Amino acid sequence: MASAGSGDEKAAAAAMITLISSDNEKFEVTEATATLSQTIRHMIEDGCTDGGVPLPNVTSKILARVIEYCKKHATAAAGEEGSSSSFSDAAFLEVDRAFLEELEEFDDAFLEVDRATLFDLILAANYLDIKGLLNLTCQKVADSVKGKTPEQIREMYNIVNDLTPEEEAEIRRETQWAFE
Amino acid sequence: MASNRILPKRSTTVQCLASMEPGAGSHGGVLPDDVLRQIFVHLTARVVCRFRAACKSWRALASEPDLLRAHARRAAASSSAGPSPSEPSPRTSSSPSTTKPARAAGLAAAASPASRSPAAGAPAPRRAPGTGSCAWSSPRACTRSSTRSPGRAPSSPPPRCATASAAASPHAASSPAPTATRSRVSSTSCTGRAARARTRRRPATPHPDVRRRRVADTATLQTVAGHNWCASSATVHGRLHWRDMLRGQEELLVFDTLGEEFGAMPLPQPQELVDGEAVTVQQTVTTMSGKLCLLLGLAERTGAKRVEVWVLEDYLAQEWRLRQRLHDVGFTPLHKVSPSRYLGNVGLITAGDRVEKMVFCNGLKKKVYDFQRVSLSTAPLGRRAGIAIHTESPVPQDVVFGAAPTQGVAPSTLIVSSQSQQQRRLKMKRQPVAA
Repeated sequence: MASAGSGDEKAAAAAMITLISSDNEKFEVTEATATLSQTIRHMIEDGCTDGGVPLPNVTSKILARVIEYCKKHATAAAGEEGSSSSFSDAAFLEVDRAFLEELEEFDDAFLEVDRATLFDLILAANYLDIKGLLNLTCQKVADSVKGKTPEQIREMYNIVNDLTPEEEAEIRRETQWAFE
Repeated sequence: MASNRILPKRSTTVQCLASMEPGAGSHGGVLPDDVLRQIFVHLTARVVCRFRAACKSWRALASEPDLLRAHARRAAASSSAGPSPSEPSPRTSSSPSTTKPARAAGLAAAASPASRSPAAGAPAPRRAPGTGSCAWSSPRACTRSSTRSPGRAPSSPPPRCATASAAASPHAASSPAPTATRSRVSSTSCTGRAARARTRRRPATPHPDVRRRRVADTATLQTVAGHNWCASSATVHGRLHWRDMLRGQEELLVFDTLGEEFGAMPLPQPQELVDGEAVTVQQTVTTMSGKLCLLLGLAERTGAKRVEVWVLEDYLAQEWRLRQRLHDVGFTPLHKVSPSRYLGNVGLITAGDRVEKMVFCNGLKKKVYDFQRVSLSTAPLGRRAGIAIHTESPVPQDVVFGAAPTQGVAPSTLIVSSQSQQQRRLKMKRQPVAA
């Protein structure tokens, strides 16, 4: 994990941030990568990242994945930053398109995880305030539940139905159209 | 779709999640409420309504006004770009031919700053010094020789508004959304030098390739648009318009806020320009006196020191006119950015019909170019800051500088205004994350 940076993040490579997972594993990332997390970004701005950033809510397994996401998106942004202006517009548009597609593919592959991991990723993204990742993962969950009935949802998520039969009937009556 | 990945019930995760979030286990211990809200926002209203029947806490969550509002915004931004070029906006549901005058009237109202401002909740536009001077003071004065469409409303008086904007908030776009029937296409010409523009006869095409998944709500849409791939953006006539780098120079991407549809709008294609070199790169779109405005040659690399100001005089007829040529722009390229990066929002400070100053940002600095004094003043912007311009801004010259990350940020992450950032920072300080 410490081998982040490399050539394309010259400026940011100097500033490394250490993230410490709940199981005390340390991850060293560039500032550009870390600041995709608003939470960490504010901590950096407040200058309280010396000695590492403990993340007691995130396991090393999940943190590794989150960092993978951040690296990809930060590197992509940095690469685009550093592109010189000597290419033609067409080349640039090509680069843009290729870049977008690559990012899209990465995101799709990134989401190929089981539900447990997906939930952990959501919680981590929420806790670290990584908007892009949170959107991505929430969308994934939304896609997986959108066709379900309330009963199926309860079963999926182990939810106890604490509505009385009358209350449930009323909800169904109120928004009959949603159940059709 | 993802049913094959769904774990059997009583998965250890659920318990694990519940234990991770001690305060969030009240509704089945699945996910904390704020995450559930996020997920609900990604669902359609129908699904959310259905999920109200799951349990009490879900019922409460799915009935929260904030969620409903967020949901409405989200739905507006990410609504399907389905193939419906007939624009089934509820207010203009009848056929284009019969409603044309009404639409034109609505358009005139929308285009008039005086009538637009109250709708946008904006303070009265300020009068700039020098208001009322001749609109065509450029040495190569241009006159318009184009035909007008029959449905065109009487032209509004010269705007006294001294400001123009790009990236107005979606709430400012409360004017009725006139639907542009692209039946009339007119050309403009300049007497001094032939600079013909043609807008192509092209229907509003749906764009299935619009990456809606990356868009959280209309505000994000705009900031993302204004920031990463789509370059500049502007809101007029209840529609968001922005340049999409992937669409190139020929058309604008349009999102109708009422009809919730994506479409495209052709841009004028100047054919003959400086020294035989067409200025086809480095456009940016903004607004000028409530009309859509296109600035050409802002950062071109041909060395031609000229910026052209094109204004969409008649939205219905898609009638672009070359309003002004700004000569001897001493600091081209104004934006020293590569074309793949954003040529962000540009604010025009106008006097009458003339552009006096141009406010923009090149990712590092805020720049104000004064065309009268031929001077460029710059002020550094904070790291990862950008510029957004709102008509309803209370600050002088209607320009707001907000935080807009320009590096190290994924296209999907959104830009927060300075105010909300402050709020967030306060919040963060109250709840230190490092336990």
